[in-house]
Amino acid sequence: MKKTRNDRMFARGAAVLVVSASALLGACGGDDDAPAGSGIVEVRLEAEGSIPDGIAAGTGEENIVDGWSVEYTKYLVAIGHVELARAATPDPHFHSEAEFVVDTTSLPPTGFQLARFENVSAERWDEFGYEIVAASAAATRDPSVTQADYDEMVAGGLTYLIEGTMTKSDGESCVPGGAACRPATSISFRLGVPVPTVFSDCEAEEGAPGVSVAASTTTSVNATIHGDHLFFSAFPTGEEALARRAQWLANADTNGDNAVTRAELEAAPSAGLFPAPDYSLTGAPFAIDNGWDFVVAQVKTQGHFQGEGGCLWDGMGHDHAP
Amino acid sequence: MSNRVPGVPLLLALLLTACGETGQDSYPLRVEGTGTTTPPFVVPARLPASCAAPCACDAGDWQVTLEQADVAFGPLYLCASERAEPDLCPESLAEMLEVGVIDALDPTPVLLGEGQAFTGRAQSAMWDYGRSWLFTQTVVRPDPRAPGGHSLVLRGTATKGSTSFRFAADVDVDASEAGLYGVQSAPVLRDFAGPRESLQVQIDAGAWVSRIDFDGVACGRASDSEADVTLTRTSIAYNAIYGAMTNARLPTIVGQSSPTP
Repeated sequence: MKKTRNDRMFARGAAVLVVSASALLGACGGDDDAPAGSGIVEVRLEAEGSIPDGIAAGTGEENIVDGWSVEYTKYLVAIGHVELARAATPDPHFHSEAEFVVDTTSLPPTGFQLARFENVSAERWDEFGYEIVAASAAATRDPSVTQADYDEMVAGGLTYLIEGTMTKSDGESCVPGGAACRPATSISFRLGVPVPTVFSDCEAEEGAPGVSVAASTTTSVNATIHGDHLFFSAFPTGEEALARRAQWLANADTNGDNAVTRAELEAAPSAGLFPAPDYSLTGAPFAIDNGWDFVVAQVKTQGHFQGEGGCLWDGMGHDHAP
Repeated sequence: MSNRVPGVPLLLALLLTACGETGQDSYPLRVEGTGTTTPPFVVPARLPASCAAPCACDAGDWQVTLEQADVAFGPLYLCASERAEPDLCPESLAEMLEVGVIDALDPTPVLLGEGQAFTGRAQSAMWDYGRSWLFTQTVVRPDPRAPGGHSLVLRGTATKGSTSFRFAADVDVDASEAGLYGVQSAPVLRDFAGPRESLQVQIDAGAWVSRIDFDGVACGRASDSEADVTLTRTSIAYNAIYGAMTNARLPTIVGQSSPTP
């Protein structure tokens, strides 16, 4: 991975030297409220297990309940602009301009480093966020991403490029309002989604906001990308029960070639793909008129923090049971 | 104001027991409803993927006339948070706990109920369409004022060329589980500044009906001569209306201020 030199500390209206001098005075006891010491914060990108491991059919909370299993072959994300700040003291704060395009199906076990902030005062930095960005030439291509895929993402301003296959031994594709269902045991999909999103005010699952930095240590935190939102049956913001369903995607294969495209999803009215009460569209970030709207709306919310921790997306709340 | 509390609304309880402790006074809020539907209207043709006899898949749009569009509305909660959902909005900024019926074909405002509001900015709303599921209940309960116990009673006629049929839909919008609402996180922007304010809920049933694939409905009839079609809850047409009411074509909630006397 190419190490960036974009990670830096911002200090609006104040020279870094002055800030350092102030910090030095604080450390010498000039200010009883000044935190003692500083540490390093490393921000990493990690993928929820649903991305590298897929989502199995089953009856459990995290299974797809209508019998389909899903495996991802690619789950590319354009991500960056990590931010670390304190609500009570906006300056100084830390911001990384770095952007990356990474395939989250093949991240190393320790994650992918998005940013590294040094000399972070040892206290709680309660405002943490990052962005899912429209891929551009400014983004660094990780070797996990082919040049062709990278070029496609940049050309389309994509934030995600998701490729996978869903399987079901007795699967069917039932185009709403169309002919009778036809056998379909394996259906592929390749979705290039442009949905830039700002994730902010991230909290760990237990509710602690941001990052707690200890002196003379390196604290690692994770921006976590979930891979199951495409198969959510609703748009949750709390702990309400949520099912995972995939039949809607099989039903969008209107030309019967066992491959679902964006064009097919755009042409498929939501009324046919997402019948109540199996699905609930209330609470979606915008009107869901077709299958593509659903894809964009669900993918928009899949940035998380420290695993199951939640963030505001574009300033709005989102959380759900694992 | 806490939501989903049976019995006396929590706001009222707070007022009785802690008046003045918060330093913020509530004031009455009048909530009206009105119909903004302008029938007759045109629904574009959307031919189904396969259209075989006895389908009438002629070119051209559908002319739709509505004879009845009665909508149960309430209770209603407005929240300061950007997303109105019980976990994010445990206490609302404004609320109306009653249920009223809006004739979506009648522009005459009708009183839905009298609620309460605090001063502040509301950014989102959640509501039921006359059918609520409280934590203390095992099933959804329709309000006695909901027409026939339903959220929407819809009757109309669709015509294209020589094809014409009456259609009927009794739509029930129910929360997915106890403690939730039929509609959540609806965007609303309203600054509540004090008394002499009211809200108006505006419903355009034509926007709901315009999402129906009438070619699909026509194709689904038992015969070309079938003149009365019921849009059952398992039908795509019913789901088109349901999706409009809960997401795609939400009612508009606007604020109104009366002149200072």
